[in-house]
Amino acid sequence: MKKWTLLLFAVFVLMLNVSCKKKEAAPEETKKLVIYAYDSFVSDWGPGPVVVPKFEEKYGIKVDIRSPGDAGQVLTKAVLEKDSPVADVLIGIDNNMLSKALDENILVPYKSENLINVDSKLLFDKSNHLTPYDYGFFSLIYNSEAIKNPPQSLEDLLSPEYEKSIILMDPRTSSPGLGFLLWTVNVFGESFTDYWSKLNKNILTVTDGWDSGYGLFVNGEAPMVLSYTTSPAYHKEYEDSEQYRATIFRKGNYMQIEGAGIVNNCSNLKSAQLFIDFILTDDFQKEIPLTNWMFPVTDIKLPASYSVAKKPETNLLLSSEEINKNLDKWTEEWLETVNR
Amino acid sequence: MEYLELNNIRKKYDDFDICVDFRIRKGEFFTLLGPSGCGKTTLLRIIAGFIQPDSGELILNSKNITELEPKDRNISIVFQNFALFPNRNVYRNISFGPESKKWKKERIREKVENLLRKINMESFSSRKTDTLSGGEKQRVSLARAIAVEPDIILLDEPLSALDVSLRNNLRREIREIHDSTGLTTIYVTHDQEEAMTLSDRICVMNDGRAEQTGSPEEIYYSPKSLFTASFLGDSNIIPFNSSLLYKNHAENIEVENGSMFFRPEHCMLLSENEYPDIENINIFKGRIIKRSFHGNCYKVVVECMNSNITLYDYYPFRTENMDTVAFSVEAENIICYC
Amino acid sequence: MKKQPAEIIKIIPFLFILPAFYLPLINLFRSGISLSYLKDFLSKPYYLNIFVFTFKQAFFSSVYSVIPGILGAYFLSHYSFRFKKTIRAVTAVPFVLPPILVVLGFVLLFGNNGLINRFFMNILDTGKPPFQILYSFRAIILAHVFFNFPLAVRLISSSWEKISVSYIEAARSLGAGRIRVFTQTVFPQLLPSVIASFSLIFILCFMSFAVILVLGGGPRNSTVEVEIYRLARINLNIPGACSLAVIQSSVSLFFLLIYTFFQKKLSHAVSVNTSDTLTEKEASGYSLVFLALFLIILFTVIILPMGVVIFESFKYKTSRGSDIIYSLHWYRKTFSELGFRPVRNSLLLASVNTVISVLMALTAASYSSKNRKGIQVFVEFFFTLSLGVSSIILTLSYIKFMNDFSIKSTGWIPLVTAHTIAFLPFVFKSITIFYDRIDSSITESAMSLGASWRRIFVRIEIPMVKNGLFTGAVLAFALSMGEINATLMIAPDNFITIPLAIYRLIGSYNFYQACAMGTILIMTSLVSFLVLDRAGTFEL
Repeated sequence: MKKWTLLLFAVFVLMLNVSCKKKEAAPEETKKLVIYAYDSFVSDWGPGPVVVPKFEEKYGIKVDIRSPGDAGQVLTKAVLEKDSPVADVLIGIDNNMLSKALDENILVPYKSENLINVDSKLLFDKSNHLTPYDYGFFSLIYNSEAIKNPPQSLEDLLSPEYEKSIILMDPRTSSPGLGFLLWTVNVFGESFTDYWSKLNKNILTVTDGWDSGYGLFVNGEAPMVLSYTTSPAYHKEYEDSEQYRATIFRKGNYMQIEGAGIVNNCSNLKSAQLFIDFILTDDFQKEIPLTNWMFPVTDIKLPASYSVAKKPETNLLLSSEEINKNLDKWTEEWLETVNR
Repeated sequence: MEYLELNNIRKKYDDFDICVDFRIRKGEFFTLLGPSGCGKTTLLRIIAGFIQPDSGELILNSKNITELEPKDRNISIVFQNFALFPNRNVYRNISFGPESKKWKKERIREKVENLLRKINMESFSSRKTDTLSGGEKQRVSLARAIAVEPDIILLDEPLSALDVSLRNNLRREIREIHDSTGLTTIYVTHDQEEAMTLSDRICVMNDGRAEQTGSPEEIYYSPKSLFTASFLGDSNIIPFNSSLLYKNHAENIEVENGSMFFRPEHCMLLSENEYPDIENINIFKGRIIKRSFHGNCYKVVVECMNSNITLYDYYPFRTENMDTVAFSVEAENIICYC
Repeated sequence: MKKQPAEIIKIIPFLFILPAFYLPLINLFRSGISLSYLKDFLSKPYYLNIFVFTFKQAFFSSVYSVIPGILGAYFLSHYSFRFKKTIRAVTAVPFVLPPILVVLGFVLLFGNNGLINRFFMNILDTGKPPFQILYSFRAIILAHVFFNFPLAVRLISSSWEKISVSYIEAARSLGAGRIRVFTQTVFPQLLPSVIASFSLIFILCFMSFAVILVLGGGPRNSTVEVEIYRLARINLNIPGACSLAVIQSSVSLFFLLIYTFFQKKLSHAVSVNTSDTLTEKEASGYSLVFLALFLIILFTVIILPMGVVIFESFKYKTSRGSDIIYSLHWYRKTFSELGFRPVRNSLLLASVNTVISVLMALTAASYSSKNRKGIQVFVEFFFTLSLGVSSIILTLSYIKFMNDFSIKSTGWIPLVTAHTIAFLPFVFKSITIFYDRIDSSITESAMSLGASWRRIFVRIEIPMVKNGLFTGAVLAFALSMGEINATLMIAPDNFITIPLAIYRLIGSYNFYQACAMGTILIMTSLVSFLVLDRAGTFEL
C-alpha cells in the first residue's frame, strides 16, 4: 500500500512537472493553428471534420481544433486565457456576443479580401474583429400534422388554440432562447413584457438548450418549437420529410450571424489570417448548409433540401451595443414576467 | 525485582490530571482498582503506549520504553468489548499478532493450536467471531493477547460486559492462565471483589492518584485513606467521637473533625447484660433499621449516634426478634482519619 | 506515535487536493468575488426568489429520494430474491446518465405524447393526454428521485447490511415491538447513512439545473446554477459568477457541516464492534406484497425511463413514409463513425478516476479516523468541500489555473484530476460511514499485537470498510462515466466519451443515434457495476 501510494504520488508530481514546463516561446509562423469552436462545429457530425482537412491540405498548416462547449464557453475560455492565449482563432461568436467580445478586448481586427463576396447586410461588425461565416433566422418550427393554420406573426402565437403548445429555450442559457427574447424586444420595444405575460399560458416548457427543446418537439411533446428556418431542411435531407415546417412572420424573423475572429496576441497570426480568408471561400461555405445547418454568407448554390429553408422578407436585428447595455435589465424583466 | 517502573508519570487534561509513581514486579498479577473516571484506564493506555505522558518515564525490564510505539513495546491488551477483528475467524484473530511479528508459519500454527486447546476452543478455530458468545469472545481475545508472548498483558475491565456466572468462571480462568504462563499482568477494574480475589497486589486509584498500593489484605484491613477504606468491602464510617474511644490506640490523635472507620466483621454482637468488661473495647447501642439476608449472614443496619452502622449477624442468627442491639468493637480495629 | 513514515503517506491526499482543488479555486476567487455583487445578490428580490426555490426543490427532492431509499435498502439488505444482483446494479445506472438523456427518457415515458399517456389515450379513446405529469414541480421531484434514489439505496443498504443483530435481538427479547425495535435500535444505527445520503442528495439537487428547467416547465423553476451559468457564459461576468457561487456554496456547505457534525456525533453513539450481521431471507406474506410494490415503483420510475431510451434506439425509418422498422442501424452507424473510442475513453477515465478517488479517500478517512472529533469534522469538510462548488466554477478555476501557470491541457491529468476532485467526496462519505464504526479498541489491539500501521490499514481497516469502499467506488465510477461539463472544457483534443457523443448527437439532430449511444452507456455501466459488486463480495 505504502509503496504504490508513494509511486502514484511520484508519478502525479512528475507528470504535473512535465506538463508545467513553460511553453517555449513558439517561433513565429510555425505551421500550426489552434482554433476554439463550439461543440457542434467540432463534432463528428459538424463542419469541423470536413473543412479542417481541406484547409490543412491547402496551406500545409496543422490545425488543432478544440471545443470547450457551446459558443458562450468558447468566449469564456478565451477571456480566462486572455493573458497568455492558447487559441489563435475563435469560431462561433455571434452578433449578440459581439460587443461582449469587443469589451473584453480578446480579438484583433482583420479585414479579409474575400469579404467582397459577402452581402453587406451580413457584415455585422464594422470594426472587422469578427468575420461572418454563416447566418440563420430564428423561427417557430411546427408539426404540420398537428397545426393546419400556422401562425403568421408573434401576435398569432397568443391564440388560445396553441395553449401549452410551444417549446422555447431559456435566454439565460441558450442562444436561440436569447434570440427569441431579443426578437420580442425588437418587435414590441419596452412593452415586450406584456407580450410575454400573454404568451406564458401557451408555453409548454422552456428548456436549457436547443438540443433538449428540439428533442422534445420531434418526440411529439408539443407541435411548435423555437429553432431555425433551416431546421426543416434537415428533415428533408435525411428523412425526406416535410412534416416539420418553418414559420415566416410578417414583421420578419430575428437573425443570427455567426462570425470567426483572430485572438489578440495569438502565436500564429499569419495562419489565423489565412483561416479567416478560408472561411469565405467556396471550400468552406459549401459545407455549411448540410453540416452546420445555417445559410452560407457567400452566393453559393444551396443544396436541394434547402428548398424548405425559407428566408424572411425582413431581417430583424438589434445592435450589439444596445443588447450589451440592456440585456441584464431585459432578462430580469423577462424572468419576472414569466414567473408570474 | 522491579519489572515495570512508572517513574513520576504525569498527564494533564482539562478537567483532571494523572500523577503516579509505582513499580510492578515480574510475574505479578497487579490490579488498578478505582471508580470510573479515576484515571486507571488512561494509565493503562499510557503503559500500552496509546497515550504519551507529559512527563515521567516508563521503564520495562531496565529499558526505557517511554518513547516507544505501541507495536514495539511487546505489551498486549485485552479490552472490555473484546475488540475482535470482525473480518477474521477465531484462528486468524489469534494468529494476527504472531503474523505481525513475522514468526515462522510452523511456530504460529503450533502456538495458536496450543492456545485454542488452553481455552478449550479447538473446534472453534474457523468460526466467524460474530457467531461466538460473549465468554467465548473474551477467551479468544485473551488468547490473542497471549499469543505474541508479551512481556506484559494489560486487561481493561475484561469481564464487565459478561454476566455474573460467566464472570466467575472466566475470572478463575484468567488467574489460571496467569499462573501457568507466569505473565506479568496488569488488570484494570472497578470491582473490588474481583480485584481482591485475583490480585497479588492492588493499587487503589482515585482522581488520578495512587491512593495505596499493597496486597489485598493490606489494602482491606489497613486502608491508608478514608477513600480506600470506603471503596473496598463494607465499611462503617462515623464522625470522630472522643467519648467513644475507650483507651484505644488513637487516643493521642486530635481529630475533632475527623472520621472513624471499622469493618462490619469487627463488630461483635452482644447479648443483653453480657457486656464484657475488657479494656480496649467500645460498646455501641442502637436501633435496628434494616435487615437483609445474605445466605451466610444477615446484614444489619443499626442507627447509632446519628450514623448508620452495618454489622453481620452470623448463624445462629440472633437479631431476628430484636429492636435494639448492642455490639462491641475492639479499639485496635478502629482507624481514625483526619 | 510520532515520526512514523506512515503518517507522511497520510498527508498525500492533502498534497493532492491542494493543487488540484484549493489553489485553482483561490486563484479564481482572487480575481473574482466582489462585495458589491454579494450585496446585490442578497438584496434583489430577483435573486432571493431564485434562492428560495432552489432550496425548496432540493429539500423536497432529498426527502422524497431518501424515503424510498430506506425502503429499497431494507429489501436489498434483508431479502433474497431473483435477479437481486442485477436489480442492485440497475439502480446505480441513473447516476451515469447525462441530464439530457434523462429528460428524453422522461418525456418519452411520462410526456404528453409519452408511452403512458398514449396508452391511456388509446384505451379511453381521447385525443387529449389524460395525465399531466411533466412540466410541474412534481416532475422535478420525480426526475430527482430517479437520479438520486440509487445513491440513497446504495449508501443506506451498505450500512444496513452491517447492522449488529444482537441489538435487535436484545431489544426483541426485552419485549419491544417491531416499531420500537426499529426506532430505538435500528434507526439510530442507520441514521448516519441516512443523513449522509440526504446531505449528498440535497447538495446535488441544489446545483441541478437542466432537469429542473425542462421538466419543471421553464423559468418559473430556475435555480442559482442557471444564474451562475448566465453570468459566467452569457454575460462573461466572471466576478459576478464567482460571487454568486460563493453564496451558493455557503448554503450547501452550511448544511454539509451540520450533517457532518451530526453524523460524527451519532455514529459514535452507536459504535458497533461486532459484526453479527443480518442473514437474508425469502420474502413471504406481507413482506412479499411490499417487495412487489417496491419492485413496481422501481420499475416505473427507474427502469422504464431507461427502457424507452433503449427501445427508441432500435427504431429506424428506411425511407420516407415507410413504416418504422427495428434494426441495429444506429449501432452500426455509431461504431462505423466512432469505433470503440467513446467506450474505451469513458471506461478508462472512469476507472482511473475511481482508483485514485478510492485511494485518496481511503487514506484521508483512515487518517481522519484516528484523530479527535474536531479534526475529523475538519478533515471531512476539507475533502467534501468540492461537492458544494458548482461544476461551472470548478471548470472555470481549472482553465484559469492552467492558463495562469502554463499547464498544458493536452494531457489526461487535468481531466482525471478534475473528475477526482468532483467525485472524491462521494467516496470519502461512503467510506467514513464505516470508518466511524471502527472502535478505537480494534486498531489499538492490533497495534499492541505488534502490527505496523500498514498492516493494520491493509488487514483490519480496509476489510472493515470494504462495503463503503465498494459503494464509493460504484458512485465515483458512475459519476465519472456520466460527466460532461468538465470533460468538455478541459479534455485533451479530440477526446470523446459516451456522454459527450450523446450530447453532440442530439446537437446535430441525431436523436435515435443518441438513444443508441445512451443504450451503450447504460449497458457498459451496468456491466461495470455488476463486476464491481461482484468484486465487493470477495473476502479481503
